[in-house]
Amino acid sequence: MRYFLTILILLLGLNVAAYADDKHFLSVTGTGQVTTQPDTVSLTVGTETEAETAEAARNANADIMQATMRAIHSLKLSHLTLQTSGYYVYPRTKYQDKKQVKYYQATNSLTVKLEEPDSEKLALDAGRILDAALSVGANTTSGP
Amino acid sequence: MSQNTKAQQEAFKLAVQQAKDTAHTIADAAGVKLTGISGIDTFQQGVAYRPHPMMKAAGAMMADAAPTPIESGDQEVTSTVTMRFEFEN
Repeated sequence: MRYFLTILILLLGLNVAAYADDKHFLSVTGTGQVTTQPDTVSLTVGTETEAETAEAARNANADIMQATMRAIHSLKLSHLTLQTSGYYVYPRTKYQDKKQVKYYQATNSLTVKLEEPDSEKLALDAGRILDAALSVGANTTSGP
Repeated sequence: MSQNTKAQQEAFKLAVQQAKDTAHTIADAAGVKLTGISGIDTFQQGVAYRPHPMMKAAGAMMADAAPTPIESGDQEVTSTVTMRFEFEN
């Protein structure tokens, strides 16, 4: 039993030291653990389009992103925030029939944050957001 | 205040309470008297995500477009403090 107690005290980080000013110290570590259910979710939905020109890639992308935002807003969720988290247009090359073909790729990502105290409804709404976005042409998602 | 922040604060309260209880237990056992606190260190609190056990079979598998299922699970917030107590014999 004494052996056990010694080990326990060592584990607790007990550390007794006497200092020059004649004060004595006892150092103790405490740990607290709390379990909660999440009340916020952050998702990223986006659209990636390809076309022969930068403008065509941009146009196709803008159409889908507009529809995506409309679809998410139409869910009428409260405490919802949308923020564009990345927009890129890049020239790319691919090989087709052994020939180098240049094209453009436009990528637009939207970060969707939702707050909802009921964690079951939060999870349900997160799924609805992903489904709404994908159903109108969004083709990239990440999170939660 | 988010649920997470509240949980972190609650975890800190529990951690401090545990450290105080332990210190008092040790002081009592050693026959010394705690006279004050001379330092408190806090440690990076972690958040662990714990899945819920699967209670029911996923329904609506027959529909051609079942909604994307998201399971929220639980969050476990842990806080740790080290407290330095002064004592006298």
